[in-house]
Amino acid sequence: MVWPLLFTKVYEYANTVCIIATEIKALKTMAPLLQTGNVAGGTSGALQTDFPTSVSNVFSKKPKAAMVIEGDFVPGVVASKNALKPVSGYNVFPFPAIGSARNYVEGGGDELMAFKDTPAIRALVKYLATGKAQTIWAKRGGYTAPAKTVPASAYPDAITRITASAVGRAKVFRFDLSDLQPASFGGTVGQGEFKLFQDFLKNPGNASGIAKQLETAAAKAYKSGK
Amino acid sequence: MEPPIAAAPPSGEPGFLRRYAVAIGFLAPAAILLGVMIIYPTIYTFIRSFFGRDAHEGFLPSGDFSGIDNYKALFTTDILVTAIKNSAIWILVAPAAVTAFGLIFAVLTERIPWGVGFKAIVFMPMAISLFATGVIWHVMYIKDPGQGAVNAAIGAVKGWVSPPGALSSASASTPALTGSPQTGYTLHKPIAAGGTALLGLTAIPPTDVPSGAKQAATPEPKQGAITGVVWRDFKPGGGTPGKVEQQELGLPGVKVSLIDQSGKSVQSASTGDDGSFTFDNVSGSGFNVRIAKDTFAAPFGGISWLGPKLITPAVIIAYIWVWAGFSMVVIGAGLAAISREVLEAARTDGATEWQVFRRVTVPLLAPVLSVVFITMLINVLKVFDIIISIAPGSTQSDAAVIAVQMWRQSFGGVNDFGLGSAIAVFLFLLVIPILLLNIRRFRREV
Repeated sequence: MVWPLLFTKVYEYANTVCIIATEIKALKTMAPLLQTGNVAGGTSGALQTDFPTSVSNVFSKKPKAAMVIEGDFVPGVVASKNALKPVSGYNVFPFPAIGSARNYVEGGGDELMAFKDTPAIRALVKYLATGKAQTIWAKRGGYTAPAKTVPASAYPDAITRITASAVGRAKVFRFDLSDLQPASFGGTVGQGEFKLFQDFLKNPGNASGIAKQLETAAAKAYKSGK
Repeated sequence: MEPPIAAAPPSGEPGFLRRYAVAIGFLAPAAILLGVMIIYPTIYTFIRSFFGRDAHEGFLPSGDFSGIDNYKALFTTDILVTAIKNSAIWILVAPAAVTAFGLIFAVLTERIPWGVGFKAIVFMPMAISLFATGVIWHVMYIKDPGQGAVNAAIGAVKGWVSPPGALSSASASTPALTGSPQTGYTLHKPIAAGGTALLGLTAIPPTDVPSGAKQAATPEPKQGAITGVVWRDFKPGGGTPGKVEQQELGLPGVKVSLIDQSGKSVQSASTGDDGSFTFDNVSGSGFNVRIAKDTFAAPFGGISWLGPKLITPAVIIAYIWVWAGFSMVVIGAGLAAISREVLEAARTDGATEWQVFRRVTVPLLAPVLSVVFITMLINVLKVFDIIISIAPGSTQSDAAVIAVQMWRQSFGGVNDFGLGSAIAVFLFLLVIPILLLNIRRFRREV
């Protein structure tokens, strides 16, 4: 009776250690990028820069930064700030592959939820999943269609075409980490993942400390179901 | 309404209703509103605080009973303990500071000719919402001295006291130059009279190049002199390091000194707009040219007002800016009510202005001061929007007070109404003593 219990405990502990080890590895891989000289405003200034300002820092008349990691809604922001044209004035490139992963896209998106099961709702959901329906939306820009049958010509500009084809080619598509976590860990300003990654930016040398705090906060969030 | 002719019935009920029907009729709407919007939610919140996140919200909460778990969490969770600590700081500092500033302004503006104008200016912040105040101060507190007004002012004073260098940082573009911004740069190989010194620097952001910089000039060798150039050895596309090329700018205003064989500095010069410099009357060999390390004094980077250490004082300053006007006006009114004769009598008795202020004015103002102080105390316990609008996302949890966390745990993402209710009950318990004080004061006045 004792041995299975002991084995489970050892297995859980080993699992936790392995998970923390991969977290530490991930954080240590990002750390060299997150030096004061590399981010606009230095690490403390970057922490005080809010989300819209971080995009306009790159695209305003006197830019403070050369590039920003963002979603494909940025072309709209650029168009409002200056007259740069896609591809010739500004461009995108995919985040460098990590390890041997290829054609792996991480993104955000909206999920369609049906709360009642009726034939009409099923028909609507089925229609919205087709390329025909999604082409209508793709034509308006700022949207990447998941259906592979949406032609590249439906997208209004070259940048959107580049990002959309990356999604089409992807072997794996994952929502980003904060969307997959319970709200108190991944979705609340000032606590959980939000705060801990910001603490990591303040002190990129503390990968193991931050990894342990992430595990503790996540365990608490999952345990209480929030 | 005719009173009943017969003796009042034993239960007294019909008589009561008939007697007070009009009063009840007038009070009923307010009483119903009070009951539905304040009393019922208060009782509901109190009960809800004993349930967990997944309780069913009916007429009364049910399911997922968790006892005092929420209260335990309130005092053990890091961010909530920080919120309680911050609330304590706010309660201790803000009301006293607002009252003190109001008192000082009221007393000082009483006598001066443009007192009314000054009072109007100090009172103006009350006209805007606390959220708008937050937005204004957030922009003023920005760390970059080029954007944040507060840091720009501090930087201007600092720059006047100790001027910054021409550049903030640079590296040598070729191994021909050795050194660092901390030690200054020197040539690797010494040169002789009639030679030229090429001091190429790179890793200089384009905005850091001093204004007035022109195309770098290739130095011409001169008999009996050492000529040279200090320039930004980079052009779009890279170029060849170590060679002065088109589109590469000279660095003006850099201090260079000529070092002789024994390591002594014999001459110094400052580079021109094209980065060139000349040391005349030089003979012999073994000379070196050094770029002084104080060329690389980093400009003022700005105090991090919105960082975790200073965010609470920063928000309190903005809060005082808003409310000092209110305090000044109320205390000013109280001051006007003090009869001048008392003050004159004190002055005739030989009291100095400070003694008059301390022994006569302040005690006479005590009721007004306590009104202001208690009002601010109640206000401070509720403070919410100014904190949310000033603090950036990264310091929201360092700046939060109890009221902010109550909102954040309930509606701001976590959606835990049990914990939020517990925080609300805690805040309610904190406010009760002050409410009782206020009620007692009103009763005494009546």
